[in-house]
Amino acid sequence: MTEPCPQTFALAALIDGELAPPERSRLLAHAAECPLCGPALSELQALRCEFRALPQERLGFDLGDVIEHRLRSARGRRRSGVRRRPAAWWQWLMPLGSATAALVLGLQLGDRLLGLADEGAARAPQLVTMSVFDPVPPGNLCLPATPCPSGNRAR
Amino acid sequence: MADTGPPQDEACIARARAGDAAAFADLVRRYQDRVFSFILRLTGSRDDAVELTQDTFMKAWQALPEWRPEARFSTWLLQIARNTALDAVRRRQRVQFAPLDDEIDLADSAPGPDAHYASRQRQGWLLQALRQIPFEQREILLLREVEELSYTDIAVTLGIREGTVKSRLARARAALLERFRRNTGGDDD
Repeated sequence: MTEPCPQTFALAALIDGELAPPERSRLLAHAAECPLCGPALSELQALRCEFRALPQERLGFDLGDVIEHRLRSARGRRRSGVRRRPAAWWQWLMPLGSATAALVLGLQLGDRLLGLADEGAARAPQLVTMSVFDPVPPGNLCLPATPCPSGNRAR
Repeated sequence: MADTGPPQDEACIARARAGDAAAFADLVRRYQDRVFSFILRLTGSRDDAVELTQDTFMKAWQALPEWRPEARFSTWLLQIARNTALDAVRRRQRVQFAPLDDEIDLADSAPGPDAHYASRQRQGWLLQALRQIPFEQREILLLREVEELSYTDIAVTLGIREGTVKSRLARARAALLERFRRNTGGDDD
């Protein structure tokens, strides 16, 4: 699309009624004689008429009712929310209290378990380590440097 | 399109701002077709326009405490409608409509002798041409030619300077005329 010349801007402003009276008179006089501006002005005016002839589109239903209903519903919900506000405040306390109780209980249980462990450690009999599973499978060479009593010396 | 009397608006707005939903519903009834028509021509989709018109009024209700009497209510409402439509168009990536050259041929191939039909046909060509130009040109043309907003109000609505309004309008008209001529096959006098 080519860039409109400044005269086109002026013609657009003219049909929009955005020109000062002296400038408007000067441009109208010019357009009456100019072979380019005259048709251009007519074309812009025709375009305006086409726009004005466009019928207004209709929504086809009462949007006022719909909006009013939505607003009243929202307000109703808000109002019921206001009535419930103390309960909502208490609802904040409930999880907080539960969390505190769980924490205290957990600490007590933990403390008790630790106490039991200490007592257990004091009272538990020493477990005798059993060398049931020897690291050296039967028949293998002994790992230690000391001679194996089972027959290495014999070799 | 005539603007509704400001005193009527003011009374309703004052009541609506005080929380009167019925007063706001009156305002909605007064402006619903205008807002719907504007959004429909911006987006090109009737279903979208119905939904976006409702969104516009819900947003207007929420923003009503911020409305200042210095701003004309209809202009303020169109600004909300425009922003709502622009958001939707951006979301759906339909900022620029593809040229519908095949539709142009269809329209051209059915000339009617009846004046009413001819008028309808020209309106169809105009709307088609409108859909073929970029969103920013479409919106400014609608605000000026259909909504009849002043350059100052257009500048406020679109958030641009008045000088930009002037130049953008001139470009938009040139682009639309080019499309319109092509649609009508040059028979637009």
